[in-house]
Amino acid sequence: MKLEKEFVLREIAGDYVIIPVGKTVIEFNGLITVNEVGVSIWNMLQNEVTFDQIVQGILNEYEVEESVAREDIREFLDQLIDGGILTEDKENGEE
Amino acid sequence: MDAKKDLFLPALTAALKNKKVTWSESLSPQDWSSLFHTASVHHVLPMIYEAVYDCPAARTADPQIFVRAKQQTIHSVMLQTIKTNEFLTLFHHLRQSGIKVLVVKGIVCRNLYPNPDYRMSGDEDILIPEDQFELCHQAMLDYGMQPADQAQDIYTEYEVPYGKPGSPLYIELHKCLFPPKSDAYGYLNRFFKNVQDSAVKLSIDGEEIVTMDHTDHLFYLICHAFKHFLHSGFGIRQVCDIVLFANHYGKEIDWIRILQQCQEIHADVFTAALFRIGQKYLTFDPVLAGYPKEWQEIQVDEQLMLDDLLDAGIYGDGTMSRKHSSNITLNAVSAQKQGKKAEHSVMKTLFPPVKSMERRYPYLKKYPMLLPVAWVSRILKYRKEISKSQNNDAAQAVAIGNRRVELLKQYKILE
Repeated sequence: MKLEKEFVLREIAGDYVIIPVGKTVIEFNGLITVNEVGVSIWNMLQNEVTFDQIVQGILNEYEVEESVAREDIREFLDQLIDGGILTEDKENGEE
Repeated sequence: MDAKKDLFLPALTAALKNKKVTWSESLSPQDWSSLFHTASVHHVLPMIYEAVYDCPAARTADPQIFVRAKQQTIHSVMLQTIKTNEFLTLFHHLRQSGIKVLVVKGIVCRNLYPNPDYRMSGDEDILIPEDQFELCHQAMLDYGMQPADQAQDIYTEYEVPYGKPGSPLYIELHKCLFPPKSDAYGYLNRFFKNVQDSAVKLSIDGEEIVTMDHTDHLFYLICHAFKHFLHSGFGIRQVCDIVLFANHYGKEIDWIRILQQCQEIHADVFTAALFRIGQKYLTFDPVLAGYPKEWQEIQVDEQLMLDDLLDAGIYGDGTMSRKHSSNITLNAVSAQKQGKKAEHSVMKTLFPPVKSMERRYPYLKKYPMLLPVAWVSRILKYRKEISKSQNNDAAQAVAIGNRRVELLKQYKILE
């Protein structure tokens, strides 16, 4: 899965905000803020990465149960996909 | 406590250094509101908010005080990020179309800030050779830009604004840098006639842009502030731009040429005061900037200018009365240029000559005999503004104008 290039993540006044740039400015009307875990996921998504790789990355960085991590990561990725920010391949390594 | 000097300026200095303030003593809600209000008026709210929101004093304050300022900060920085990105794409398109476009102010200054997109720009300014206007206009249209003022004759005006539907990008396209018909400062254009010949390249966000050389650019920033000072004042953000520019490029700047040019336009004492403010209250470093003794030896009291600019807002638009006071100061400067004593009076403020009115009332160019109609329209509009807002009456505008004429004399701009 990969991020669409026309979004950037910025820290502004203590919040992390996803900002549309380029042509997506006209299509994207929302404001998405992310927490620290979301920032970690965003950084991993800068490279081509599978769902399981993201889960492992979060488990390495945070003390959290795997089932909780999977659920929260799935929810976050679905939000990005719904916003047109993320494109998911059919085979994404999710078990 | 003088909130502007004791809170605002230290917070701004911290922001320019990419640091946060360490205030531990509690501030009242009024102090916080006053700080954020001053920051908004001077268009530096994102920088100020970032510098103060996490200090000990802020952590003990009522969080509700910060909600609006935070929302405005996030919105402003988002918007600026979008505009910066789009501008670089447009610039690339214009250069590819064969246009010798130079970027002035805006992104060149913004790039010097620790957090560039925290430095807000309402628009981006570009300068092109006048004989390339038709080519540039077509390239702008091809990009999706449109003239922002449909009533404007874009082929005769020196400055043409463009917007783009669905985008926050707003461009001021200059064929020359100052209105050539202005008695007060049209003559400044002669200093920038050959800037294309000495243009330099800069890299911003991985894109190469072209701009004036550093000496020309610094002098332009000074002239731009000077022009606003002649009107109704300029704000602290312009001082920040000049200070950061001088600190960054100072060693490559021909300071003596700038001094000579400033002396020619009676702006040497004004400029020395500006750098004195930068040194005492912001981050100007004379050693880093290579600021020579010829400048440092200029005797000047910068306090009056500091008080004036803190009161002025971003372009002297702190209040409507202040804005209207510009008629008096500009009349005084124009009169001096014509070898006359200025008659700054209510009559001249209310009934300016046709040349001063043409920009707002373009029909006067074709029908100058309609000047009395334009006067009436203007007075009715003025009265409507008075009824809508406070701090706005002719007497106050005249008082401010008279005071500012004295200020221009203090800084040896007027005799």
